[in-house]
Amino acid sequence: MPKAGADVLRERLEGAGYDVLMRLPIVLFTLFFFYREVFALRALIASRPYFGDEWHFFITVAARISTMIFLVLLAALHLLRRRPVRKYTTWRPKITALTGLLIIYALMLVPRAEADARWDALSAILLLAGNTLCILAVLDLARSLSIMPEARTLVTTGLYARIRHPLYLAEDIALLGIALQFRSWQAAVVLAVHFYFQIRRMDWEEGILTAVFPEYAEYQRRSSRLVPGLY
Amino acid sequence: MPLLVVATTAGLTAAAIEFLPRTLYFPVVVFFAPSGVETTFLQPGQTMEHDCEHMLGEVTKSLRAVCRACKVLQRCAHGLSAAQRRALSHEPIPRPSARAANAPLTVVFAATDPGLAMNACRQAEQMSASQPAELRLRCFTAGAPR
Repeated sequence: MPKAGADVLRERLEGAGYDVLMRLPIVLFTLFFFYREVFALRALIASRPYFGDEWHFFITVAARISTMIFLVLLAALHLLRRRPVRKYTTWRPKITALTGLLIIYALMLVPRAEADARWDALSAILLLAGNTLCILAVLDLARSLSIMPEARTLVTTGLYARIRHPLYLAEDIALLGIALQFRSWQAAVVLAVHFYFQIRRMDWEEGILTAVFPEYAEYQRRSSRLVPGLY
Repeated sequence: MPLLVVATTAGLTAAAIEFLPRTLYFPVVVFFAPSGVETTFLQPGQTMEHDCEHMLGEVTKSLRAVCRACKVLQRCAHGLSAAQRRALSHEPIPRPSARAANAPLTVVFAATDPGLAMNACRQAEQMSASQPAELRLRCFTAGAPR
């Protein structure tokens, strides 16, 4: 029996509403941390307003700016993603994915270490590499991106031809860069917890992709999970 | 793509260096002594205006105690001029100046007679000797590396 117009409309609104609800909190959450970073940068520049010709301070600011670019990329990624064709209905994969994601922000709540040109230079390099990889991965992925382990479309071209999770690799490289600005045991713990949940997240994601796309098993055989030739 | 990311990061960094100071409040106090010496106190910026005003009040109060006849000009400036930035930096400047050992406080002395400005600088150094270590000033001649 065909559905009534009102039912179809309600279904569509519920679908779109859920999608918006899933996107907005994480985008706003990311923007909140972006705002905190801007405020921290203002305070840093306030304490050293004369650094225009001091290269080491330029590097420190560049590391902070790279962190902000990473946050903008995270927010943009969540805004641009497509709606899934299939997702897990149980909570465990969702909680794993959310924990893996939210722990990134916990890193930015740890007290920051004193500015140091060498550490900040290394941080900026890692963040630049992470941000670049992130953009390249997103261009390959188009809009098949998600926080939760969900199937949208199978992408096996570009970076994805060799690595199954280049976006996670980008995220981890950038996060390592951010952690170098903090340099404390708390930052190391946050990083370790993030890596653990990131691996669990990949397990869940590969599980659903294998279930939806029959060609995924073959793709798994000819590609590395994160680092070509190593893992 | 990597070049684009590097260029964007460098561009945004330069923009932050140039434009963010304009969103901050820098306490600037200028004292005009009857002897003709103009003394400028420069300090790092504050993110909040009331913190800046509080600092202005503190500096003015302590200087008023030393020189009641001095004319005072005080303000919370949005950003700093190139000359003020240079004065706060460790680069040499063309006037006698004094810097606190461990705090970014900088005092610049100007007078039509350069000797008079230098004397005022030395005097400030001597007067600060009784202060806590972080507030003790060290005087530098015009053009000297600081």
